[in-house]
Amino acid sequence: MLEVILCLAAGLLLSRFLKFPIERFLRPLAYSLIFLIGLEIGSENFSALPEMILQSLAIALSTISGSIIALYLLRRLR
Amino acid sequence: MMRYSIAPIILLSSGMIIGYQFRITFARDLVSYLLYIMLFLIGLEIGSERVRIGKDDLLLPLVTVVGTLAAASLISPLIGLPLKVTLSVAAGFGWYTLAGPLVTSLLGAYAGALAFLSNLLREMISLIFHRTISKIGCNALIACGGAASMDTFLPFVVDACGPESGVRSFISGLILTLITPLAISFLSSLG
Repeated sequence: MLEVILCLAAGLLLSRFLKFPIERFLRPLAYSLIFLIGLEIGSENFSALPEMILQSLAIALSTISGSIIALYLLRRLR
Repeated sequence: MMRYSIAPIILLSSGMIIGYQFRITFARDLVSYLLYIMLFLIGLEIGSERVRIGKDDLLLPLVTVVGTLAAASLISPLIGLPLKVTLSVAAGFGWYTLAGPLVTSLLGAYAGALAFLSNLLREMISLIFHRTISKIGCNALIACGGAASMDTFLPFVVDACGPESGVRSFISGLILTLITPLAISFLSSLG
């Protein structure tokens, strides 16, 4: 957790001084990371894929519903 | 939209096939180093946005956080995952390019892939049904977009709710962009 905070904080602090097109670096970096996750999971546990897809779908649908319900409840309370 | 949704899936799948064939072991360390660079760049990006954020702007992203994490807590026992894993995965708030690598480095490859897929699906479902969700309310649509409400999801909010919702969507996405890495690292450290 400390590393995450330090990296974010360093970026926030240096944002006043460093000016360059960040988006140009972010997407290729993000895509490289996704490929590496694929490499890692392929090397470890490939057989659990169907179960993982179902769990992912369940989490995606529940978090979307949860956000909508929370906003509905807030609107009812106000 | 399709290009941004399909490219990560192709990359993940090809990585899985190559990893399965060659049993590559160096990926984990590389993920950690690249992730730190990415977090630094995210910090730079957030810091370079010059937006005034008022107290009222905080409510929508906070409700999104509460609704998302409450739903994840409820679904956790039903899908047979530890609460800390489900909460960390859900705390990606649709930001699959960060959630996948960060959860991988904190909780391992299975949880990381789950975070990637789950947050990608959240964004894709929200994009496909954006007009339907906007009939419930524009805030509901912005909440479904999560952290992506400030970039990839923003045109869809403007399309369904008009330009006046664009600023609200951007600010909500920006706040969630800051919350996401902190929430994932906090929730993954729970006992």
